[in-house]
Amino acid sequence: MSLQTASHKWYVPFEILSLRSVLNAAVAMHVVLAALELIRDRIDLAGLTIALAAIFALLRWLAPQALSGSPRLQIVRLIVLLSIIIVARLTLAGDVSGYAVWARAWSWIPILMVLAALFSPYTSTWTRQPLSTDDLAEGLARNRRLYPWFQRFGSHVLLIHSCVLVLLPVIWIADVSISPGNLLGGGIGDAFSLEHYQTMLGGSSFWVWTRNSVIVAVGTTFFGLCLAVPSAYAFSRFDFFGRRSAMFAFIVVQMFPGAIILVPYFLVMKTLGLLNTSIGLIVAYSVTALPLCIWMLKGFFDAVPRELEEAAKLDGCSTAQIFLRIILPLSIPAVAVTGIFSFLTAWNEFLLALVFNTSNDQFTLPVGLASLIPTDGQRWGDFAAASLLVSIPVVILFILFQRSLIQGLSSGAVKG
Amino acid sequence: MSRFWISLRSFILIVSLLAVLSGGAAYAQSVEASSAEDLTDYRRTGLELSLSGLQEGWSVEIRTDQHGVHTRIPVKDVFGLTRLPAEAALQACFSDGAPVHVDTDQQSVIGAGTQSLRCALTGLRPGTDVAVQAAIVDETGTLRAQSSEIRLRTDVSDLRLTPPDTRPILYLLGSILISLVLLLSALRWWDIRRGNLKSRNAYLYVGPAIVALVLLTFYPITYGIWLSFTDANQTHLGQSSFIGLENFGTVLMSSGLVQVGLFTLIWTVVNVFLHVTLGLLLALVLNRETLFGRNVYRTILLLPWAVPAYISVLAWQGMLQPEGLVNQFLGAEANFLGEATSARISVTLVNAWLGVPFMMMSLSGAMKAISTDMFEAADLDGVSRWNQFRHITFPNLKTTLVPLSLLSFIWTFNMFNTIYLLTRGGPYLGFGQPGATDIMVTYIYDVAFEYGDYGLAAAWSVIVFLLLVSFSIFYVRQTRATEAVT
Amino acid sequence: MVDVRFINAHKEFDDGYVGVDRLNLDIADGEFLVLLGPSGCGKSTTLRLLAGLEDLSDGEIQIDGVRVNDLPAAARGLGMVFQSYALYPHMTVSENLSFGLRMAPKADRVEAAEIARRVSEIAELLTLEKELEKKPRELSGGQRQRVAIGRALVRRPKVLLMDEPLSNLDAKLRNRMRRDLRRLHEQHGTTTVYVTHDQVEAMTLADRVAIMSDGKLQQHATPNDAYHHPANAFVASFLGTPATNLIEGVAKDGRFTAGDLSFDLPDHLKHVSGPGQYGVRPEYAQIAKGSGIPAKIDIVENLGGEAVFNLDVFGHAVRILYHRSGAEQRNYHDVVADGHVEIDLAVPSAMFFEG
Repeated sequence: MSLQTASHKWYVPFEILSLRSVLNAAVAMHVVLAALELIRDRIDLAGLTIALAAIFALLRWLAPQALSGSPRLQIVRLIVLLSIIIVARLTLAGDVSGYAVWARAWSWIPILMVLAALFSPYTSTWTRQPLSTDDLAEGLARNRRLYPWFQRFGSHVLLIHSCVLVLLPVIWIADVSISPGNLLGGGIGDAFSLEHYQTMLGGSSFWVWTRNSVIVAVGTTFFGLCLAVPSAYAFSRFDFFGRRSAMFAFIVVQMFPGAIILVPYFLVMKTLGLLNTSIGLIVAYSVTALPLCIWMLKGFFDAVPRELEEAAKLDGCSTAQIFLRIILPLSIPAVAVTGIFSFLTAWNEFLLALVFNTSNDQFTLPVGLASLIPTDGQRWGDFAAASLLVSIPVVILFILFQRSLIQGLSSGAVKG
Repeated sequence: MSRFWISLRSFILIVSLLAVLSGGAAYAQSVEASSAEDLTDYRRTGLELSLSGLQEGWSVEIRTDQHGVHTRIPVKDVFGLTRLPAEAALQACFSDGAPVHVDTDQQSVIGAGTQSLRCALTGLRPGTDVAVQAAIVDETGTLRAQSSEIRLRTDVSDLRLTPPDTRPILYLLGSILISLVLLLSALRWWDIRRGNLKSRNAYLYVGPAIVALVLLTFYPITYGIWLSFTDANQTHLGQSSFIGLENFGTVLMSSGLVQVGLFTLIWTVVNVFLHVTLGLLLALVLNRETLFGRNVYRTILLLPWAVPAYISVLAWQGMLQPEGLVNQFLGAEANFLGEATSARISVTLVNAWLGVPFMMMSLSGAMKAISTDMFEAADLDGVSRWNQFRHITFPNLKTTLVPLSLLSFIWTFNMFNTIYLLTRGGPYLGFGQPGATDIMVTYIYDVAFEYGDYGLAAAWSVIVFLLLVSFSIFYVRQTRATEAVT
Repeated sequence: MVDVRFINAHKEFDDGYVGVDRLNLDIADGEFLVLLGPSGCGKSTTLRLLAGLEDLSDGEIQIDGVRVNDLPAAARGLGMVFQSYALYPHMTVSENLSFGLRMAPKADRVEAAEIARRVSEIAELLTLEKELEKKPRELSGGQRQRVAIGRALVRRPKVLLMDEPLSNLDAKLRNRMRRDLRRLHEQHGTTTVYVTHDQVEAMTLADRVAIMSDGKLQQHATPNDAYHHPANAFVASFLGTPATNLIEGVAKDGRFTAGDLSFDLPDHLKHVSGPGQYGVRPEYAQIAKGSGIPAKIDIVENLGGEAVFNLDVFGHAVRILYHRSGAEQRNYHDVVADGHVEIDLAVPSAMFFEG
């Protein structure tokens, strides 16, 4: 087989190459759109949308072969006509809301792409096999040029949809926090008022909750590190009886978090009189975060070369001196990352705080903020303002340290 | 023969007509509510109702502004039914001075002749005024009578319990501590005798962490297992007694088990599936190095992980309200969290939203570790993108995917926050019964802290624990087995 | 006929770095061409351009007379052996060998029976029959290497590409694989492009070598020609161990002067003049007792059968390979006097590079 015939076999015009993935996405999207129409109580539109999804699936199956000159081309043309009628009907039925524009874009774009494929000169040239060498070279060069752009475009469409979904609650919270009144409703950015920030920052509860959270988070970080750093070092460096089983125990604990030991935990705390105190939470958080902290730190310590310690030993350092003078200063970044991790854990924890600390003056921020949203009489505006105030520093901290945090966490989790 | 049936039918018709007429005519339904101070104590708020005109098939509802329907007690024929044991009744209701009856489903019921009902309401938020209202509702849900709203309060000062005699537990913790220290010293001595000089001070380093872990994790777990065999509850914690497997029997016989178990299973499986597929998809797209704005996208997509989970869940709760943003965008007025099916779908999607970034980042790291040469070799062979993913990327990610999906399974199984903050396990929360979106952990929370039955909650916990352990072992074995085969 | 032509091929990366600079290169049918050069010289990029793993910025590549610039990698009919082997770790050897055939797009699909036949044929050729059911991690380095070659050959490529295939093996195995590769080429006769930085591989394997530096082709010739008649100072210094002695100076009237060093040029170089570099290979420069240029001995490296004299000749570092005959004394009394030797640089194989 010569290279010339090989390239004939390999060449498919860009329109048809791209059509496949566009139609795949369109089918999936129209199933979602049909569900949304059901939520809107437009059963007729939902039916049409599902029909459209079926049509796209049919086209996905028929089009590539049909376009290469089979008699099924006529059927494809009919189906395309039908789909145009349906989409036109859908477009006329919809209002001019953001939703309608977005949904119809998802219907029109695939249809336009099918039409482009049907009427493109490149497709018709391709259909008239055999191709001349010039046509082939031109088509290949065109594919080479356009296809990467198409792929990039597809990635951006997917990512932009995901980012909108991710950002939606953030934008919503920001908007609610500056909307007057504590009720929902009203569009994004239609009114402006700082009353909620005034309420939260001017009142006492927010500051009480913040104080409690800071005490608990800082206490947890300190106490947790005191426990985790030495034992992570021992797990990394010493070989002692029971090392493996102890490490296994830590993994098991990491696997089975809070909710299961909730009841006995609560009763122990109750018996010790540690309910409604910060100490109770500090103790509980330090221990629940301990396994992951130890695994993170162990990973970091493992990376410190042993030769350093051996050199120090030759210089006459004792084990404790090696640990305090050599290893600790070297791993300050690692310890800091672990500290941030336990700080964030304590700052965001909800369940134990909800169970242990039931009086308003001992609420931490999570429980306090949640108490603004009871079943009745929700104070959405106040909640949103407080939420923004609470999460902005945390998010910045997380994003600044994301690489080390994620690395430490996922290596700890996967090893465990 | 047929004549007999006809006459029987008309007889029944007449009797029931008479019953309805007399019921409607003879008694007007009324309900009045007042506070019952003597029942108010730690985490409970006393309420007294005087009732009249009840009919079988109806029910009495106690509503609060925190829960909607807090308690629903059906009115039934109580003839032949047992009453709640006196000590258990402390957390439930008394009708006409005696504990209420329980039907075959362990549901509290009252007779039609009941004139007064005294209940200790649990699970009201302490330190705030709660508006409470009682109502009589017929079988179609129509309101028959309603009391005026009264405000009740559980005072914060009530919560600061003077701790009971803590000496026994302190002795216990102390003795555990001492024996641990002894054990560690013995281990150290044994290690040194074995000639293992490298570990000279190892126990000094690990000791504190191990002690903390044993005292605050293993001890509570053991304690919890013991609790599951007792009748410990809010009112008599100190004097709880061993009742064998009764709690486990109650769990296994309860009508809620199938519902909660099934929803927990669906919730977990669907969530893990969504986490893994969406995480994989996004990681694949984000790993293209030539992608414009890749770091911006990555940072934005990290947000669900970076923002405190309780805040984003509450934000979603607001957005899913009938007048919230989602409905505004769609131009609809759906009550997503008010209907069983839509609430179940909503909580699942919100939790998927929360969990994808972790999966995405972990998988993205694992993908970077796969050598790019392999894909170039496949490119040269003309292997399509999809086959490259299926036959190269996916098999090579397996070693990461197995522990990650297990982790995601366990986290989702235990995900209390999402459900509690979105729906509290509702809708359709009845007293003592799981709501439509209750998973095991949220139901355990309800049983323990809303209804105060610690022993029963501990039994649920033990069952969940056993389920998780056996699933993990099964899963790891299974994946190892398939790895050995392929 | 499968010949490969690079016509003015140019590759500039997104960051502006020029990987391959206006390359013109013809590779004949059945030829074993070695692309040789130091790391970063553009030889791997050249190979990847040919494979279709990188896009050309300008110019043209032809395989078999067909312009392939825009042809996808798979359509070019090439087989490639990667430096890391790029074996699929989760597949057995036979799955690795057949993967490309099994996954081929419809246009190139081969029947299952034919795939099995080809796999066993390749396994026989590379003596991998016993390893077919093993996973790559159970294989030795040499076996992995052979699987990688087999995977490239099983598709019956028009051109076989190899990117430093031997660099992950230990020295002994590398020697053996080198011979095996040459033998394979003689049996198969597939046009082969082989990238390496190791001149021994280049000299022993190649029909012709293409020596590259800074993205530019320096010389394209048979190994012997490149060694004996290097096109420029770079090729001269790059080929051969120890490296060619290059002394910068001026040639004038049949004499070469570099600072205090000055000597008569050999006969074949009498005609050169102007500034340039005078080159003598260490194995051709001679120790001439009593009649040459005096040189101070810096250090002597004893290699057993021969020794490398590192010399200081009027401030110029010069190395000379000295063959010892018989069991002479350790301190080379026969040639060395008072830490000095006398050498002759004006030998018939000396070279002069202007500029």
